[in-house]
Amino acid sequence: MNKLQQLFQKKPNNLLSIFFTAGYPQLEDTIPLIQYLCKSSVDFIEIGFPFSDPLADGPTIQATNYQAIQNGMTLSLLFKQLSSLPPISTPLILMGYLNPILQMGIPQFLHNCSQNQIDAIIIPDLPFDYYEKYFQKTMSEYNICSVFLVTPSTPPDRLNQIKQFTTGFVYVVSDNSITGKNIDFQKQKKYLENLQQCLEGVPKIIGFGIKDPLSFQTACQFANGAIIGSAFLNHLKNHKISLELVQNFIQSIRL
Amino acid sequence: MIRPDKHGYYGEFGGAFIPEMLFQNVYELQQQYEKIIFSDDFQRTYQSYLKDYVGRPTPLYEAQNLSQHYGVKVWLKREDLCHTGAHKINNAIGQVLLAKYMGKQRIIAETGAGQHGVATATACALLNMPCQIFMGEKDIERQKLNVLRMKMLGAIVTPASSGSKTLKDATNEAIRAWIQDPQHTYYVIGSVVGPHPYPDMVALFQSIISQEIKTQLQEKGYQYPNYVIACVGGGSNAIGAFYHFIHNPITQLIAVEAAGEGIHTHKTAATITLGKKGILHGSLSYLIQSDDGQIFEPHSISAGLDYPGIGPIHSFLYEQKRIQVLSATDQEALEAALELTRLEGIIPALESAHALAALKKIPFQQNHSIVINLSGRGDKDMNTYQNVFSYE
Repeated sequence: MNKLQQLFQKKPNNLLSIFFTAGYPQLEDTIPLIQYLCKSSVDFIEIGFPFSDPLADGPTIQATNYQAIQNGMTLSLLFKQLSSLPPISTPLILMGYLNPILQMGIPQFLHNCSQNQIDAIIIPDLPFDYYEKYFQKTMSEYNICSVFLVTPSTPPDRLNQIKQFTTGFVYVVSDNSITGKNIDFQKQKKYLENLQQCLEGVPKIIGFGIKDPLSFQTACQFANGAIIGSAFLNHLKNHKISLELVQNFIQSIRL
Repeated sequence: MIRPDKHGYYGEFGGAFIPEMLFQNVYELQQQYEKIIFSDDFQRTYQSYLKDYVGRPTPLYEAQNLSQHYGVKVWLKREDLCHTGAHKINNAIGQVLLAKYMGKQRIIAETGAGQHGVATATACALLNMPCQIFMGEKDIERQKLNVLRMKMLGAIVTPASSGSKTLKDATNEAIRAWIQDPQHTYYVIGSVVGPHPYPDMVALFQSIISQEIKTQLQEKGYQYPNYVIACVGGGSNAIGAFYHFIHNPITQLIAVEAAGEGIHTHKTAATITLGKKGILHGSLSYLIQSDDGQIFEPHSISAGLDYPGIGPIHSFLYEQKRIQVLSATDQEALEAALELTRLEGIIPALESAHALAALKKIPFQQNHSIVINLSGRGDKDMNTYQNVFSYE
């Protein structure tokens, strides 16, 4: 079992995860941000590596991707930065689109993940056949977990497939939406309740549109926890990052 | 003829690399498109629109002055004479009709030069569908006339202000809009790009071009052309012109990319010449990108070729050595446009001018017959032509 799987065993409820884009606001902010998030008792951390054309993302994450690329962030630089991170107990997840991974080479990418404390990866545009062919075996050897997304329009037979492939958690997209939009839990109640049944026994984390104590708490009623991305990145915008800045945000969510 | 395997691959190219939010939309289309578009009912309606509304078959014109100038026989496939001024309408009517059959209630599309946007807005006016077109801010500026046309046709034109503010970003925005309304919205992609089944579907709708070329040449006593030449951005007019010649090895297929200011500069859109394999907008193909996999902002004087990728079918045909890829610079395209205008009295679109520029680059023999796909007319480019040639 890796750190992420242990976490789900140890603490099945109210998990708070924070997503940020590597290289944003400043190129060298990656490592300090991870350390501040650890100190702020975030349960696990999602690091996004930037891509020029992030299809599933709204304006906030588009802007952080753009800025990170302008700052000079690349996937190889991110691994170089991560190699200087002292061992941490908080699980780390890497998230990004497939093209930068293809350019690095899938075996090299997975090897780099295994060397740099990565417990799981999320690739939103990774088809199942590619996962089975190029990722599944090596990830299992390296003890890296897989995470797949589901949405309100994911068909039932596909949910079953996702359940089979998942070794980490299912990323529950709160709505048919891009990142950073508001979520209407009332509208999604049926969908979320259905998932509790269909994906019983699989950890579920809700993302997209979680931004304040209310949305976080509501999400936790339907899943093991929630991921906050855009709201956190908006909080960092135009600031020099500091432990205080990060702690303020986490406290404002957890109340 | 060329069709993908059941997962949408042409060799290793193509596929459907899409986030989960798009899965249901794309899956629904994959399940339905062949059933609908090959049905007698659909074909009857579609063919009747092509004939009486678009004005097909478009002429295959023997350009005698141009032929004399180059010492070979040059035929022009006059897609510029299609209703709305380019080949894009062949696909737009097909897809909007398909959307109707699927019970969709709203159409969205991306556009670069505005030709696909105008074609889609036209099909939507004709078939009574609400229409929203995404267009890069930069393209809105340089293709004003087409923006006015789309608006007059009743479409909402939404500027894409992210990234390079051109076709690539308009496509991103259209996909994001689709994610947010999967049930009612149909996304009309304008080229042979995007996730499976789009490349196959668009190629099928455009294949009418080569079907006509074949028949028209035979009527004129020619069995086959030695060359078929077309410009490529995403590659829809090129695949249309190549489609029925792919399995005839005697016909050489030439795809002309936009070199922009030159393939050795950073201001270029020569995707195959400079590209590496990668994934953009849902399919695997050649892309111009950094070592880190970031997609470069392309450049071409022609907004319709200003795209950093190319359809997966073309990447596949290139790797199979079935198509030859050339490139033409902005300057070469402008010269070719002026040459055709003065020799034949036809003002071509800047995109099509890239195909014409290939006449100077190929060592033809005297008895060769060449078909150039004149994919669009130059009305929309008059601003650019005026600025460059400075007429008073």
